[in-house]
Amino acid sequence: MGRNADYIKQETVTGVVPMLKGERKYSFMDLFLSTSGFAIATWCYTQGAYVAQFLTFKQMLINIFCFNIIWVLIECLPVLFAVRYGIDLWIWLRSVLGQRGVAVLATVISLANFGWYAVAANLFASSMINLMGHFGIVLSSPIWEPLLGTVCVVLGTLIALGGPEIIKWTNRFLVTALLGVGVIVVVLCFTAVPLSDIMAVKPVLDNGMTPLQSFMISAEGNVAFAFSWSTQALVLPRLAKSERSGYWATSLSYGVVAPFFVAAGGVMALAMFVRTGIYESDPTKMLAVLCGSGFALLSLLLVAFANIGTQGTGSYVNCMIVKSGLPKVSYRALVLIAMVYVSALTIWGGVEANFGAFISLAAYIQGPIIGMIVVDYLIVRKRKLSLKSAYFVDGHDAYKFTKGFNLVGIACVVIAFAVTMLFVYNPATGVIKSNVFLLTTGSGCTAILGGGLYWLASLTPLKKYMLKDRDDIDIV
Amino acid sequence: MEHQSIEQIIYEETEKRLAVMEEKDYEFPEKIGKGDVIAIAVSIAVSMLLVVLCMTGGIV
Repeated sequence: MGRNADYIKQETVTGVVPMLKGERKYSFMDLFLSTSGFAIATWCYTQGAYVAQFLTFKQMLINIFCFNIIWVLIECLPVLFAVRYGIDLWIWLRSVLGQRGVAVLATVISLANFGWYAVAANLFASSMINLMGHFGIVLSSPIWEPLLGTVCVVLGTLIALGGPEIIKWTNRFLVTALLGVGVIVVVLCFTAVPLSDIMAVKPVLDNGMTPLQSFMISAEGNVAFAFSWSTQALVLPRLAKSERSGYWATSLSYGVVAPFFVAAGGVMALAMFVRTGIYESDPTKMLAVLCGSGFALLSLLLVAFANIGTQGTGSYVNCMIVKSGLPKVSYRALVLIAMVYVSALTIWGGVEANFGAFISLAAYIQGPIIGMIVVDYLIVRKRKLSLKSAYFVDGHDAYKFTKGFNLVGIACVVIAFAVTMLFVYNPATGVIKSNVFLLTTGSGCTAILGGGLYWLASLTPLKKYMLKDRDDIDIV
Repeated sequence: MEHQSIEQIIYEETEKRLAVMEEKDYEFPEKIGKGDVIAIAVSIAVSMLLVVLCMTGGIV
C-alpha cells in the first residue's frame, strides 16, 4: 500500500492526475523563476542575433518584445483552466483532438520541441570550448562539441529525473543569477560600443526585399519563438496556487523575460557588427570580444550552465506532454528515451545549422493548436469541460469521437498547416507566397486559420459532433 | 499484471479527485479579476499599435 501511495504521489506530480488546490507547490515567484529558468537559454541570443541583421535598432526592440507579448498573452489564456482544474493543456485538448489525436500530435510536437534542446546543448559545448580556450586549452571542435553537448543533455536528464522540486531549487539560484547577468551584459554592450553607433546600424536588405518584408521575416522568427512555448506552457502552471499568479508568472516569463534575452542577443550582435563588421550569433564569442575576459568568463559559465537547467526543465515538461497522450508509459522511461534522442540531434548538429526553418516548421504545427484551444476554451466550450469525459471515467464518453480522433479538430490542424505552407510562406525555402504573410506572418496565419476554421465548424451541423459534453458538465 | 493494477490505482485516484472537486465545498483557486483582463487587453493593444507604426514606416 505504501509503495502504491508513493507511486500516486509521483504520478500526481509527473503524470496526468489532476492537482487539487491543497497540493499546489508553486507561488508566483517559484513559478516565475522556474518558468524563466526554462525560457532563458543561450538560444535566446541566437534568436536575437538572427533578427538583428534585418532591422534597425528601434524596430528590432519592437519586433522582439511586441510580437512576443501579443502572442504569449493570447496563448497563455489556457493557463486559467490549467490552474483552475490542475490539468495540463493536453487533457483539455482531448475534447478538441480526441485521445488518439492528442497522442499523435503530442508526440510529434515533442519530437520537434526537443530540437531546441539540441541547440542549447550545442551552444553549451561551444561555450565550454571557448572557456577552455581562455585558459589556453585547445579542444578540437569535431570531437569535443558532440561530446560536451551530450554531457549537457545527460546532466539535464539527471535534473529531470529529480522532478519539479529539484527543478524549483535549481532555478532559484540559476535564474536569479542569470537575470542579473543579462542586465549587466546589456549595460556592458552599450558601454563597450557607443549607443549612437548601435542605433546608426542600417540593415542590409537582400536583393528585392522591402523593409516591410524584412520586418515581417524577423517577426516570423519572433512569432515562432513565442509559439514554441505554447504546448509546454501549462505543465508548470497546474502547480500554481491562483489563476493570477499562474497566468502572470507564465506570460511574463515567456513574453518579457525570454524576449529580454533575445533583445540582449540582438544588441550584442549589433555591437559586434559595429566592432568587427560581422553579425555574430555565438554568445560566447560576442561576450569575449565585447566585455573582456574577466566578466565574459563568469557570464559564459553562468549562461552555459543555464542550458543544463533548461535541459532538465524542458525534459520534464515535454515528457509530461507525451505522457498526456500515452499515460501508461512511465515518466522515467520517457526521460531516458528523450536523453538518447536529444543526444542524437546534438551530435548531428543539423538543427542549429537550419535554425530559422526549424523554429518555423515547429511553430506551424503548434500554431493551429494555439488558435483552436483559445477558441474552444473561450467561445465554443465557454470555459466548461467535462473532466470525467476528459479522463475517460466509465460512462462518460463525450470525447471518444471517431476511434479516438476528433476529425474536425484534426482537419483544422492539417488544413491550416498545408494552406499556410503552400500559399502564405514556406519556412523550409524562405519564400513568401502571399501578402497575407505581411499581415500575419506564416506562424501567425496557422493560428488564426486553425482557430477560425474551428470556430466556423462550430457554427455548422458539425457542432453536434464537436460538442457532446454539454449534459456532462459536473465540475465547473 | 502489476502494471495493470497500478493503472487501476491511477484511474481510481483520478475518480476520487474528480469527486472531491465536484463537492459543493471544494474551493477552486482564486480567479483572475477585471484588472488582469484590462491589463492583458491594453498590453496587446499597445503592442499592436507599435507594430503597425513600424510596418507603416512611422517608426524606423
